[in-house]
Amino acid sequence: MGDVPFGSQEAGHTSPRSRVLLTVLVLVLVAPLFATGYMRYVATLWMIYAIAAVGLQIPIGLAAIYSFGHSAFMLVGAYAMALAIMLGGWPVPIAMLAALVLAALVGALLALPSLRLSGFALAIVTMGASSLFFQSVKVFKLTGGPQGLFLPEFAFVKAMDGRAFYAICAGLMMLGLMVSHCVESGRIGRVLRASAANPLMAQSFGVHLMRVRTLAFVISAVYGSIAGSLLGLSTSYIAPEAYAPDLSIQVFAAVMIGGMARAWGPVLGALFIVLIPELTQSVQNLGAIVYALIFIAVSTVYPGGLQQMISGLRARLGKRVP
Amino acid sequence: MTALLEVSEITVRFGGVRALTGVNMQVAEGSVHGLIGPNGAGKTTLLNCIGRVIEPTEGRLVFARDDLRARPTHDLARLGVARTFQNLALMDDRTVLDNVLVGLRRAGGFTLHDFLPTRRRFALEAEDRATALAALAQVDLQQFAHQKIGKLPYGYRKSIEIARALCTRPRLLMLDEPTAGLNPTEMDQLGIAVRRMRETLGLTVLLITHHIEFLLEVADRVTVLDLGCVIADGAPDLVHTDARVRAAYLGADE
Repeated sequence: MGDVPFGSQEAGHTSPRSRVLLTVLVLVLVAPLFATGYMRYVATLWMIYAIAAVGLQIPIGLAAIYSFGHSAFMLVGAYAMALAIMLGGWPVPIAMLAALVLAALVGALLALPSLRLSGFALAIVTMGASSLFFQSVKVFKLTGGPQGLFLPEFAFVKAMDGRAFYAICAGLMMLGLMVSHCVESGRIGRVLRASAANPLMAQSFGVHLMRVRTLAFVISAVYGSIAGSLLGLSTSYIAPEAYAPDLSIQVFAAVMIGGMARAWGPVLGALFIVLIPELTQSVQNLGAIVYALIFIAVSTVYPGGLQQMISGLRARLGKRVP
Repeated sequence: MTALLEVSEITVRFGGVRALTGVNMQVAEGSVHGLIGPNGAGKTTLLNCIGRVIEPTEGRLVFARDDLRARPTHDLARLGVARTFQNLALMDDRTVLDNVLVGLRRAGGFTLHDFLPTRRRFALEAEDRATALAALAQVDLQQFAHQKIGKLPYGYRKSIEIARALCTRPRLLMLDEPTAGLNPTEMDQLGIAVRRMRETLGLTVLLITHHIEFLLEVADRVTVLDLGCVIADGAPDLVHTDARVRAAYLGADE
């Protein structure tokens, strides 16, 4: 990342480089409005996974907390929203907010073991949480058992051939990206990075470890919940399998593949994990194989993810064209 | 002058090993207090006790009438105790400024301004950067603010740790071997910086050093440790006059 000019990180929204980046992002996000219905559907999924991945980047990228519990938050987002709508007759936005609060609580609970455990052990515990939620919703009648829950049809999801719903997802993704940039570049990011680099040093400078680790989990849970709710709305059917522990690994992979050095890394990674299965749909299971192979290749050759690959290419092009 | 920090009968045992035995030390407000002794004397252990990184087996630590042993580590910066680390605790992949900013604490918890690009947020961030740059200026390193730490020489990184500690606006600054790895010129500059900080910021400084000339230059008082016990305490020139110190020190060193 040696190509970053002075202060670009701190100056954030004002530097010309991030203005170019923002323009590109807006163009890419607007394009699906003029694409075919199917492409828009894929783009909608991309936005949803991007929200999840941007949220997961906060514990992973800033606090070095390797969480595989993200599918639990997404599951809570989907199921709690669905139940609030179906049983309580709540309007969708209120149901989503209620689910979000519940997911944040689950996030705070998952943060508890993070003081006792670190690295690998914590990853296993969060994975266990993913599994616990997945198995639980399959058991109880309230959550529809193995069949899952059918949401009522909402006009706004299908409105304008999916354009409205896509716009909502894209808007929420942009909002999420903006918040994550503020978190990353501000004092929350500093505190999380310090606690990851050296917990004793961070404590000596007034960092309350439990509090900031809880904050990292809660923020990621909020993103996960919103993504889970949107995923449920997009299909209007909530199948437990859609929120299996696999999903945690997928979102984790999106963060790793995209790269963690920049806020947009997980957005790129999310595109990747949405596109590969779609592109290789015609041949059964090929998607999974290609996906796994590319994951291994990218993580090995470019530990910094796709963004490291891109900066590498840019540096090479820059040398050729002075 | 009254004691800002009172260390009474501090004993630290690691298993069967006694790292410190009944250590008493008084650090006067506004003084530069040296802590010296041969390798393994327990100097850093004592600093770690005061910094609440090591829990002593026995003894009392009183800072500005506050019982430090009742405080968790993360309270120390707020109380006014800041420190540097013997083996450097910096984030090598971040810039100097980013590292110094870690020392900054604003009153109150996180607010909406930490999550959204509000005007107030940018104002606060700018304020923080100005404070961090001012702290860097105290150790004459402001020109390196935007460089990655990993590329800077060891002596600079030691000073960056001092700047980071200054950001907490401490009353007591603890420096663990700030002179290690410095050349004579850098050591002179550090001495000037330490005295200047004491004068302009009203700091009390507790420092560990192996360099006797540096100690004589900056310290008002000195405590000598050997094998976990205080063997002398007084004016800095006791290192030349006290027989036990000369035996422990010169005997061990030469």
